[in-house]
Amino acid sequence: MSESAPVVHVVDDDASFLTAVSRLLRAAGYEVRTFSKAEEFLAQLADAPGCLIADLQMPGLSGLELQAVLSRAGHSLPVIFLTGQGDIPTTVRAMRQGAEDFLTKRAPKEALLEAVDRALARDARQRAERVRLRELRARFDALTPRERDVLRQVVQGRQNKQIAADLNINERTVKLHRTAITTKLEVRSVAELTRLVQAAGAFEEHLPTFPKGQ
Amino acid sequence: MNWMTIAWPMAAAACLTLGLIELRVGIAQPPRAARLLFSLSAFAIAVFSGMELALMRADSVGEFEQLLPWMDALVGVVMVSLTAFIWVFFRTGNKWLAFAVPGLYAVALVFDFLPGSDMTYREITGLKTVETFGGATFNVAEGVPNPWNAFAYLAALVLIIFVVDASVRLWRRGGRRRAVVVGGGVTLFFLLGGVHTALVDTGLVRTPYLISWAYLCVLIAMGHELSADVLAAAQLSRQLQDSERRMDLASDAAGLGLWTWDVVSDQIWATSRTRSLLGFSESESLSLPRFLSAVHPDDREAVRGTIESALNGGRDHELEYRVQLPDGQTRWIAARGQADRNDAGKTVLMRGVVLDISARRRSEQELQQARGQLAHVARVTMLGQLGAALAHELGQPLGAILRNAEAAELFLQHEPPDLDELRAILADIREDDQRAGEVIERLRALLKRRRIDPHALAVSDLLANCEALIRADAAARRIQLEIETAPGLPMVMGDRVHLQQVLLNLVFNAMDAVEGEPAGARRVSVQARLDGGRNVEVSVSDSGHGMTPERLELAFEPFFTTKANGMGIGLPISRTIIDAHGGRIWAESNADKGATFRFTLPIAEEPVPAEAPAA
Repeated sequence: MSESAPVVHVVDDDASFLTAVSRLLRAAGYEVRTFSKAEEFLAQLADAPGCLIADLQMPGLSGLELQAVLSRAGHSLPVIFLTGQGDIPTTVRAMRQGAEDFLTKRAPKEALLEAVDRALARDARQRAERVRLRELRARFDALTPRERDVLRQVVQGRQNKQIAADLNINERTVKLHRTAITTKLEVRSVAELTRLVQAAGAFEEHLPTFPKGQ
Repeated sequence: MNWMTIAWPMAAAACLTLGLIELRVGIAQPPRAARLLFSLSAFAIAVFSGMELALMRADSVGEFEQLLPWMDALVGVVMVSLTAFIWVFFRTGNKWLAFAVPGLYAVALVFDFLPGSDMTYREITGLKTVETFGGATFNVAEGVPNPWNAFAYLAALVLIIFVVDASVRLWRRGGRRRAVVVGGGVTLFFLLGGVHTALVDTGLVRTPYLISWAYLCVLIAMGHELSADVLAAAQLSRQLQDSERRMDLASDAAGLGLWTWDVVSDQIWATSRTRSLLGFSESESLSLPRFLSAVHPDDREAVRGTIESALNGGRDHELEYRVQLPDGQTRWIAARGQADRNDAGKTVLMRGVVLDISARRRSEQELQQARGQLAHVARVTMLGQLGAALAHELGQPLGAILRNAEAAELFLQHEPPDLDELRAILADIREDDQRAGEVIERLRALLKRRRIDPHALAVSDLLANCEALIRADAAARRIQLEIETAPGLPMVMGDRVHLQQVLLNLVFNAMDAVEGEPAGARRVSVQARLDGGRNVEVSVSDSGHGMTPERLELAFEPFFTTKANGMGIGLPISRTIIDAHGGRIWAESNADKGATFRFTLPIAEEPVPAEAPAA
């Protein structure tokens, strides 16, 4: 992944407010990009670290609609909403859709900057998590189908003898498979192996041919 | 002994029975005269029938001579009563013909009561025994016929003409059945009887006299129609009972109580539903004072007044009142009544219905309360929306100013500070400040809605309109509302809609001000009077807690309010409107309690056209 600095995207139809916010954020040391319309922002959207500050009430796509489009497209960019006045129903809806924060336009500077920091931190965390997961899956992908069969039985806590009988192979061969698995997945114990499988969370996805009841 | 001694008494008995029946009925029910005349002829024929039998069995000329005059007299009675019967029963006929009948007959009858002669014979020479069917024998007289007897026949002929004439008249007037049955029957049998008697008299036919039989038939024809009346009356009474039962059913289903008040004897008849609705027991006797004692004291005078005006002229009346039930509860009653007058125009009877309307009253009251709440909610919501719009419109520039100022603070901490950036920031702050000012100005313009469209208008109309709008609200909040316009006020120049807004605003404020007072002490009074020669002054006074002098000063300042959810814009707007009219608006404390708001409006110049026709 590139090491580029995170970018704070600001979307607001009010030009003077847009300028003022970007000025403040830049003065506070953030990289800022401004958009006067939600559609403009979506057009240049790339998978880069950052967060989004959006006005709730805008012509065209509103703040909430923009958030919905993002989450449908699988972007996990944290969103901070700004509003002239906050009413309860919209706040609830925004939060339920996973808004990072919900601030009035005249909220104190500290609240805004803290919200941005929190949003960026969450973005960084999510990104790191995604990277780790991707790497993990790459390791799982390296397993042969037979190794995956053995792995499934191992994490269920079965003995080598049982596995051998089930899969109709030699017990020694099972041992060989297990060695290959631990090497490829870079683990040292069965406990660690189990944790890894759970963390990858993709057992079904990677091992779809589980032989039921054998 | 032969069949004649049985047959004649039977005819007599039949006549007697018919006569007695009609006599009995005639005493009780109309047509009385017709029934009594019928009885009279029936009794006469019954007696005649007996005498006819005696005559036929008479052994000597002396007996004959004794009986004949009375029999002729009875025939006279029958003819007269028959004529009269037709006259009253048909309610028509030729008067001269009617009078001719007894007149003519009397001429012939005179001979019966002159010595040495009678109506039929100048002289009876002897008796002759005749045998008729069944081997029965009877006696007839032989003698020299009396030529004056022709008058008797003439009388019978006139009678027949009278009956035919009356029948034709009745037929034309639509009483066809009666004309045919009675008129036809009387004519036919009378004719037959008369002809037969003439034949017997002249000796051409050797049978007994059949006068009583012919008359029996006449009676039956007459009685048939008379009894039709009785039958119709019986049927009518059945129908009446039916319709009464239907009425009971309907009134029961509708929950209606029926009552009748006999004004003269002051007695009230009431159905059991009426009694239970008004809280009376089943058995107690009712009168007007007893009724009034059940009416709620607050409504008693109104009820008494309505009853009195119904007694003295009003025909129908309608009223709603409360009754106090024995268990202490109150029930709302709607009553509707009708007065019956005698020929002198005096009310002798009133009848009507009562209905329980408590549920309707309750829902009306609830509706009124809801309406008041709704109006309040609408006002609050309107202002709330205004507030939201204000927050949004001002939020943008104010937010931008804040962010710019914060950014400037941060830039100032940089070393060296970016002066160009700071200048740009200051320029933006100034611009946003102007924007915020414009928002406020736009809002002010919106609230003012400046265009005033003055016309000549009557202040009394203004007050009446206002009253119509708030009367229900005031009643629901149990506020006593007094509206008073001095008589002969001149027209003023003004914009109806704007002035309405001012007046409503003042009245609503006054109503809010008395809200905290006890129910009996909530008074709002609106008055209009002449103020000098050039203005009309309208004042709105309340009996609320009043205002301190400082508050009176501040009352017209924007955003000053003493109400929990007030916006403080009603009075400033009112002042703007009154100023635009060239009037004045101010507030003062009342001497005793509460506050009064007053405004003046200039009087319209005389030749100004009225509001409606905009030429």
